[in-house]
Amino acid sequence: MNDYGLMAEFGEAGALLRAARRARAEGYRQIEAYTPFPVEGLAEIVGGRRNRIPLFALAGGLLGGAGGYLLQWYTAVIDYPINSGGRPLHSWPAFIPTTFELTVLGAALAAFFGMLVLNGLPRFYHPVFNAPRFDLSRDRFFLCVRAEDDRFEPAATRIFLETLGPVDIVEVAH
Amino acid sequence: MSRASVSRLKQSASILAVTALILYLLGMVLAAQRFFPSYLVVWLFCLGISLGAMAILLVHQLTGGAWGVSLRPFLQAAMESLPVLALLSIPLLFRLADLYLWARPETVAVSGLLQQKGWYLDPSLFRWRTVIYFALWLAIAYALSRGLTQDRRNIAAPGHRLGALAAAGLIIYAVTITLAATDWVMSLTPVWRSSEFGLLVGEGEMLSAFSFALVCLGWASRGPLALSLSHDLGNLLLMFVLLWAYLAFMQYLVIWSEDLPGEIAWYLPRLETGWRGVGIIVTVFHFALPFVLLLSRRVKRRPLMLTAIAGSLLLAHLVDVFWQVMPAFRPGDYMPRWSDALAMASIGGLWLAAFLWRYAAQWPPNAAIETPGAVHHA
Repeated sequence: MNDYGLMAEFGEAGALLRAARRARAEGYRQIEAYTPFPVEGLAEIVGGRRNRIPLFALAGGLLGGAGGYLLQWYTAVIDYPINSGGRPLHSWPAFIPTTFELTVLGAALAAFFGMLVLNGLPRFYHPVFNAPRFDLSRDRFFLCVRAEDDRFEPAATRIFLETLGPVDIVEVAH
Repeated sequence: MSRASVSRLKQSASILAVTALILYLLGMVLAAQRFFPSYLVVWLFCLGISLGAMAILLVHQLTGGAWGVSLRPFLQAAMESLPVLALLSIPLLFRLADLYLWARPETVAVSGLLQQKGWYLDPSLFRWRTVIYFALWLAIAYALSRGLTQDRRNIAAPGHRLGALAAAGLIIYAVTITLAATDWVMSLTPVWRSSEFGLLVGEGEMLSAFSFALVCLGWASRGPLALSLSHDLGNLLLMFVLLWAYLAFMQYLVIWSEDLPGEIAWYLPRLETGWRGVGIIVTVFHFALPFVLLLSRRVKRRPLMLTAIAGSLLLAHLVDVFWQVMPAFRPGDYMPRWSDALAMASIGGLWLAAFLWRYAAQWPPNAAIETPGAVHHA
């Protein structure tokens, strides 16, 4: 049981979608799919779980916006007050554009780096690249059933994958 | 829709039309002078939905997408109600002096500013411009509606012919709505100028049309919407809300920063009097609340929530139009009057009857709805 999992290769996106759906229906939970381009509906079948990126983006946005507003308020009201055309020092309309920009910046940075952290990136090694035909610059679509799946049994899983009509099935070593 | 529900729809449309027409005549006879400001508000609101629907349909001809296919029947019927609004503009054109300071010779005689602006703000020129706007809008709407109907009935594949119409139509819409917004709304405060006002009005029109179509979709769809479609529609609604807020705030920020008499003349009666509260309501319901709600993925994937947000946005847009127009007639007095309700029931009723009638006229059902993949590109 030292393997990473069993990987089946398919020739087109539709076949992979059907295979993923079947595997899910069969009770497999630890399945991964690899495609050369986004396939609509695949993420819902394979992943199924919600991620925390929206939460990161919201927190980053709120933090960026609040920080941007506070910075302007502090400089304009406390640190370096200047009378500008008789307007109040705390002139909120003038602070909005920068607050908006920093909200967007904070949300974008939080979403980007949150995505890297949740995906465990950057990463220099991944077992799926051990599969000889694993190449996503071509029309190849892969479904990998992880060995750590509760329902995984090398022989039975291989037989199941063969019923899905794959091009090829390989064992992926760690 | 079944055959029975189509005839029921047509029946209620005629009852609505007759009732609204009686109320309309009542308003014209009983309270002509007081009726016209309310008339202008409701007329502009309905015009916004029809023109906004036309603009969204034009955009969809260029972009394609399942979102537009699901909303198309409602947008098309709303666009096809435009002739009613063209007819309803005629009484307004004959009562310009009740609405606009620059149309009153005795006011112009004592105002140097109005004399200066007289080359543009002139009643007969104003009438001609309105005729030209409607001629262009009706021509675009007619060509588009013919193309869409042929498309639906699979008579001909309009393909790039409609694409060219869409590109030209959108350019014409952008120019004419800027001029029309200047004529109909901005000139209520003749001293005021703002170069982005037309864009703000046009965007508000598209937002109200999109919200209206979403409400209709919620009302007409029997089966649940596909989650991804609901999500897309929610994102588009959020885009309209953000763009509206951006334009509205930018106009305010520029005018607030400059603080020039000719420019703040628009905001003073709308923000420094009793109307301030109405402005806050518009800010909350036209921007803040829908913005926060539509950030959530769960809300966007719940069609009922989406319908509710669209409905409240539609109401907020009516309040927005009220807030733009009415302070010119009732400074400081923001309470709606019975003439407003009468205008809403009569002009809104006539427009809605036209919409229902045009919607029913689409039966037998739209072939394109059953195959959402059938979208064509320019």
